[in-house]
Amino acid sequence: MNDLHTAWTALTSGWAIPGAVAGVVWGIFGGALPGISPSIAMALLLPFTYGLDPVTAIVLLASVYVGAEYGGSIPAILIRTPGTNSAAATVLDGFEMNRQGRAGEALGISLVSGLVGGLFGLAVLVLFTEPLARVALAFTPPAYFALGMLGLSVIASLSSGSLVLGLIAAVVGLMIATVGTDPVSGVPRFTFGSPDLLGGVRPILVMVGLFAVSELMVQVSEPAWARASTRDTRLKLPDWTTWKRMFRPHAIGAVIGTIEGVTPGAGGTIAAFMSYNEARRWSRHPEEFGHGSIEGVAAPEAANNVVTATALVPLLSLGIPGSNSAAVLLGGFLIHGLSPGPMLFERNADVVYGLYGGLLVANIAMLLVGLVILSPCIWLVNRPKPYLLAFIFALIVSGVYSIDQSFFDLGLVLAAGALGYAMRWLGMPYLPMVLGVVLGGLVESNYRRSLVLSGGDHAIFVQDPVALGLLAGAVLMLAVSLYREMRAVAKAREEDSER
Amino acid sequence: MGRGLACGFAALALAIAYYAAAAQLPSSFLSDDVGADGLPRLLAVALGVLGLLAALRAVLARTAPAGAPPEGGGVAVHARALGLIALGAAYAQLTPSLGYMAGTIVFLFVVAAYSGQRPSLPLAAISGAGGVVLWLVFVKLLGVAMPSGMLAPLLG
Repeated sequence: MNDLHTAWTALTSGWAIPGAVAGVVWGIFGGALPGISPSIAMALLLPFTYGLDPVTAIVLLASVYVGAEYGGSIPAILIRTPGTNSAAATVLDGFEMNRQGRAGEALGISLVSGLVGGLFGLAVLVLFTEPLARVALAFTPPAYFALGMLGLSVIASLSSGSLVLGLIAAVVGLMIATVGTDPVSGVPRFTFGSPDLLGGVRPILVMVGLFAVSELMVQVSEPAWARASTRDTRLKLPDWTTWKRMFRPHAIGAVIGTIEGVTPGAGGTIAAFMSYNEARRWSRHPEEFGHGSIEGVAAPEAANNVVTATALVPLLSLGIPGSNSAAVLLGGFLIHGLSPGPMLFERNADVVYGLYGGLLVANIAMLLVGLVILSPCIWLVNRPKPYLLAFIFALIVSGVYSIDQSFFDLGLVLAAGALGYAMRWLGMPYLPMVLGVVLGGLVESNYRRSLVLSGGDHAIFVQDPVALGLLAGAVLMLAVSLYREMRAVAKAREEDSER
Repeated sequence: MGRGLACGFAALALAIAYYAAAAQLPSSFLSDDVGADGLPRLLAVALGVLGLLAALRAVLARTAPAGAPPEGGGVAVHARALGLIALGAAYAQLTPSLGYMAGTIVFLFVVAAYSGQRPSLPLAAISGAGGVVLWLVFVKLLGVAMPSGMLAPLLG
């Protein structure tokens, strides 16, 4: 009760509540723009926090994070462009629902799933920060390697019934991830003398190219393209039946989002993909995934919004920023002379409880802002198609340029778009490639760090209990996926022979 | 040549080229046992094997690969799609000299016209307004340092 009073006092004594609402609005706006990541949206506001009181400043920045992670799903659903890395998994079924004239339903599901995920994450943050901080400390390089392998193990089930092509896509994704400076020796790899490639290829560039640019290419080549659609443009919140169907994917997203969130460096992208995969595995309608599944939107959206709160666990309790966004938030703390870590709860309880209260306000504001802006957004993407295509393309090139003020990045996106178009023509799935690009660096750098630690002894991966558990999980997931793939092939052959 | 076979051969060719590039990576005295070329070589071999497998499967099955149905269309359709990439590349080339606002206005007009909108005064007006709005959002609101180009004296 005393803690609640502290939170309420901290929230109401300054401008924290308006700060939370403003942060969410800014975050949704930034997250919805391709190229403006949550951390960039937060960093843009950082200079303005100097003059604010500490609670308002921290709440403002954390609310931007909440809004941006949700905002990424809006272009993912409406224009097949993930605004953030973690929204890539939402593209799959969200955009398919939009294509079927169910954009309002998809946006409604992503909105409430984001709210459920955000509130669950907040509850975890408030109640379990201390014990979960120990989980974060248990993650050593072998465990990170194993976590990456667990992420890669979902490739088999993301390969849309074409395992060999899915594996080819994944290997190409891993190859893209090797471009840049070698994580151990610092040797430049596959940069061909270009300084632009020394920092590697950002996953968001590959995603925007594969998903959005390739879609524009397909659309512009279709003869019936120029007609404007006359679909329903209203936001549709889930009814009771849909809520019941979303329970399981929400639970899956909550569990995976919690684990990934408290693990520094793991982040919402892995959480979203793994949740999508597990939601399909445990669904009563797995055949709907990839074809406009409600659960396929609910699971990743719940997961990446859980992460917005649980990613603060290692920051608040240990002072470890586990992501770029957490690092910007750490900057906000430091600007105001606050040092996140165990002593923060003792010395600055008002800031911590104010942050908790601010996150609650931010999640509620996210729902209200979403209710206001989503119908106009749907209306906007139902304008005559040539205008729409031109504006989407202009938004993409502007957003991509704004990341590093680099036209080279724009070239990479266009190349990824052409690659995505070719992959469509070949019937090759995208997602394994995206996973390869996202997880390649994590897997390689931690594999090699582990071997440096062990003097080259691979036994380190089975001696570490966390790594062993995660690797066992990866093998199990791979085995189940392979078994299902083989069973599906055998069933198809049986049906062919019966005909 | 079927798409499965094309995919297999493309993967094989990429694997060979990537392996060759990996073999030329410089070594460093800071390197570990695995080395900067360790994973790349492994990936190249894996891609080569998978490429062969895909080609072999395509030859045995003599059908298109399973999975999402590939889009059809002839050379003209693909050329039209690639034309969009060419427009993006032209934008990247011209914007530094034209400036972000002017470049984006031209880009909006050309892409909409390329997508089937008849060039007209309303299209020009909408492109102009769109370019200004995007400039306001990215340059004024977000503070991104977009190229000013020939309008630099006017925009400050």
